[in-house]
Amino acid sequence: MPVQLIQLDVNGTLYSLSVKPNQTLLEVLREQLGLTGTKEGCSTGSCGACTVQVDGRAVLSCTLLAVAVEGLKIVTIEGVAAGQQLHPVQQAFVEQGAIQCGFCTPGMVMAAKALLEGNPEPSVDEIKTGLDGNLCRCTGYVKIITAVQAASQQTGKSKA
Amino acid sequence: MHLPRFEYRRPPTLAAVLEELQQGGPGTHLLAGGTDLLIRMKQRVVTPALVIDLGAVKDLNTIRGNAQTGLYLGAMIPLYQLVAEAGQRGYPVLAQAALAVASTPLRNQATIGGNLLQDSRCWYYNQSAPWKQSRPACYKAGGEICYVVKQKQECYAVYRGDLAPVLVALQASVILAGPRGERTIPLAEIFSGKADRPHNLADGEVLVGVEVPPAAGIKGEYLKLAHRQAVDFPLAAVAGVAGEQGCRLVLGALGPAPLVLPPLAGSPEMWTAAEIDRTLTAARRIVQTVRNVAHGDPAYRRKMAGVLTRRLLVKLQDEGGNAGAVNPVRC
Repeated sequence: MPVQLIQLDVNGTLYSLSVKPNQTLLEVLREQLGLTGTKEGCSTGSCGACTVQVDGRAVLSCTLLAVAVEGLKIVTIEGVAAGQQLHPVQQAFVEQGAIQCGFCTPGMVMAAKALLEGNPEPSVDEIKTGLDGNLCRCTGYVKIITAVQAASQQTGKSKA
Repeated sequence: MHLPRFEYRRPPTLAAVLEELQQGGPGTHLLAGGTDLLIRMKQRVVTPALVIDLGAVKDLNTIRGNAQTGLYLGAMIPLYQLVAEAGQRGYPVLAQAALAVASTPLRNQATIGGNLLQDSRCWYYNQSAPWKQSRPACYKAGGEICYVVKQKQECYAVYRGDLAPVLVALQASVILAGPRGERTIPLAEIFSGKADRPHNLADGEVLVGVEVPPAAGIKGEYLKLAHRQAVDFPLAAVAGVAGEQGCRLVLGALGPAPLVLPPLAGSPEMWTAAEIDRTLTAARRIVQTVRNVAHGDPAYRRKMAGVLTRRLLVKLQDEGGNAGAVNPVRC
């Protein structure tokens, strides 16, 4: 299986990579770029731990071929904070106690970030829909939803 | 889980896709959003020698029209776009069905064509290679025996797509491109009724688009029964589209294909209790449920066919159909 030379735009940096067609974006991010913040949970598109943004949309990197996302803007959890300044979603997760073991958290943050960028004032139902691809075994989701509400209130009012 | 090895092509045109498909032969699979195929490949349910990615082909993701003119949907339109636009274009029931599929990130990747052409599913078939090592291959996988109905050399896998029942109820057609040219046939006719090979596209054919007839003044509803509000395939589902002429009802996830019920004549307020009862009886009789769905007792799913159909008909009578919100019914 021949390798392909591709360029991936990840967190604003263009990487030239030699990848095989059967490598998922998740594998390339973790194993070739060392960006291990994106997690492998189920590997079958059901848990959301591998969520990243591609052209602003939350997608599951375990079900995306790396060769298929050349030329698209990829953002991982490592690209969310601005240096030492946490993103409002990250800050809210910390302040609201929305993190226990932390394994689902990168995926949750990416899904929440994508949600708020498309809908800055989501209702609780819209938050639940926006995060419906992300499982958490620890928290029971209540604090996560509260954190997303808190993050959205930083930029505007939240719907009831 | 790691994907198996395969040759990969990403042709820029439909003509190039058709040529690659022709040359690739039987071990070739088309890749759309990847949310079905790549998972099955990781499980080694399928191991194509050649994967042809449709992502670079222009004109497969065109959407145009509305309920007055009819709707055209390119096969590569992602489901999130269908959720966003179908309601505005006068087909809220289509948005409702699209919103019922999987989850937000999966809808950002998955496509209409991929959802329609998803393979049938079975507890014994859709498992990883290590899981399936404990027994010989099932009938759908090329073995001698179906583990669900052991006496029969027949497959009982379930077609569990969410879009197909609604599009069949809307009397949609599909445009297929192949080595012999292009053809347009009713969507209902691409389902073979055979669970081991649920679609009867000709070799080398590609689903290019879906045409939905005008639907001005028509109300519709899609009810999906699933374990959870997201991610899960339906345990049972019903789509209903009603106008002045009558109501078309299609069951989902209750057999090897969408199951079309006898239509109800006239507008919803004209339906009698006896007519509704006959429809519910037909719903319970037509389903083909067996014990091959996780935590989905076949008798329960059969019963739910009637329950969901009754709820849908009552909803069409009382409320005139959905306002675009999805209401998956919890178990």
